[in-house]
Amino acid sequence: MQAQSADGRYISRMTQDGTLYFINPQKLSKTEGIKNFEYDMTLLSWTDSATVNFTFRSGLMAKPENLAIRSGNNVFRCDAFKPLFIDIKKNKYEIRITSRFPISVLATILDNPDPPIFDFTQDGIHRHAAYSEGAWRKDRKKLNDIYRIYLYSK
Amino acid sequence: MSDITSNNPEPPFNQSLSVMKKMMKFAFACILALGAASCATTTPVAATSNPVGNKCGIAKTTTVLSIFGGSADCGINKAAKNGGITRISHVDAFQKNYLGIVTIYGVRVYGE
Repeated sequence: MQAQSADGRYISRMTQDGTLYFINPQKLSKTEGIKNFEYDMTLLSWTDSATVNFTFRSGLMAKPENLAIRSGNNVFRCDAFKPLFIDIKKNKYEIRITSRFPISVLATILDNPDPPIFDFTQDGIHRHAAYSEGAWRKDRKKLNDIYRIYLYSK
Repeated sequence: MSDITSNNPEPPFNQSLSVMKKMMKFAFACILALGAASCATTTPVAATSNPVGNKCGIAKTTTVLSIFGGSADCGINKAAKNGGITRISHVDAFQKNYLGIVTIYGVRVYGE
């Protein structure tokens, strides 16, 4: 099984409890209402959840609500999310959010050839960020390789 | 026996076309060589006695020809903030270079 495609896409770190996999930040180009959306992910071999942190720039200084990831016909809502920080960048606000999803959600998303979409609202205004088709086709392969390595280390 | 050697010199236009083709081949070979010279390195910055933890944060900036860009915050504080890290275990610095033109600098912070 070839793993070269994921080289450089992640780093792994041995810890006392197991292995930490950090998936490097990825910018999503198709955004609505926000700019510079970038997410990264941390997988821990001793847990069954993935920490997804993401940053975006918005003209609104409001905490995101109703966070969900859409993948095809599936909608995975997240209740465990909170802001990490908010900074002022030029004339916009840079907001960083940490969220947690079950690892089964990641598996389902990686199974789907449709690009996943990050969905949330700010002050009732809908925002979203998504991969382009081509970017998802390439990144899905790498993420699947990383996910297999994560499963191997459990 | 007829002299088959042509004494007609190559027209000037064909000569410059031939030179241009050679220059383009050389430029292409240089680009390939530069591409092969692209590299990524990771170096240690600091380590503390804090536990390794379960979080990782990254901060980076991108420059082009070391002239354009490079204005983003790629310090330890930014990386720790990005990872939600309040107790730093250790820090690595990394650099990726593409074709000798685009360079990405950054730090990676681990902790809890």
